[in-house]
Amino acid sequence: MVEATEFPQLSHRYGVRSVPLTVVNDKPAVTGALPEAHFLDHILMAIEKGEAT
Amino acid sequence: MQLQERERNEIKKILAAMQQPVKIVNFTQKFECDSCQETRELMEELAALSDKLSVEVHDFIEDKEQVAKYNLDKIPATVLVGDEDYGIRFYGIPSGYEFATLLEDLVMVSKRDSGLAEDSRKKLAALTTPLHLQVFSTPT
Repeated sequence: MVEATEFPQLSHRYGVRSVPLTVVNDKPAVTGALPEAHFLDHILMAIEKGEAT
Repeated sequence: MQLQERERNEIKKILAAMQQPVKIVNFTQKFECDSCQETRELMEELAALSDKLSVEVHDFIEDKEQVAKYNLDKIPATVLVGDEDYGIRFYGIPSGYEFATLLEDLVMVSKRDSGLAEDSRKKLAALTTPLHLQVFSTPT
């Protein structure tokens, strides 16, 4: 957990506009809260995308 | 004092579900930022509410060995440790909704069980590279 208002530079780096924002391996990936299975799928997709770049 | 009497009673009820010991490792510094002081006090007060909880306070500037051990780059930082370090970190003060998250995490770590579904566990076990998740939230 990162408290966005206490670390404005980090929030700025990841472009935090609404919370919760989940950053996966240094890239903003999931906005909002999702059911577990969906959330995990988004995270796994973000990992693949990150590895491809 | 960060916690009111009534809150302390409610928290005790939640922490009664704890099963095994959990160590709260808190990082602050000598000249504490406002939220560093609040976070440290909160953790110290929390730890007093369950015999399964303990708290360790370190100085971010001076305790370089501990900072390296937990791989931290900012404070206030709070690490929840069970039989091992599961990678759980709270940066900034866990207040508002995040305080409930903290309590849930304490119980979860005490049970040594993430509570994740079987299917999720399988998918995560298949990962071959390190995964770093940062969830940004605001105190509401």
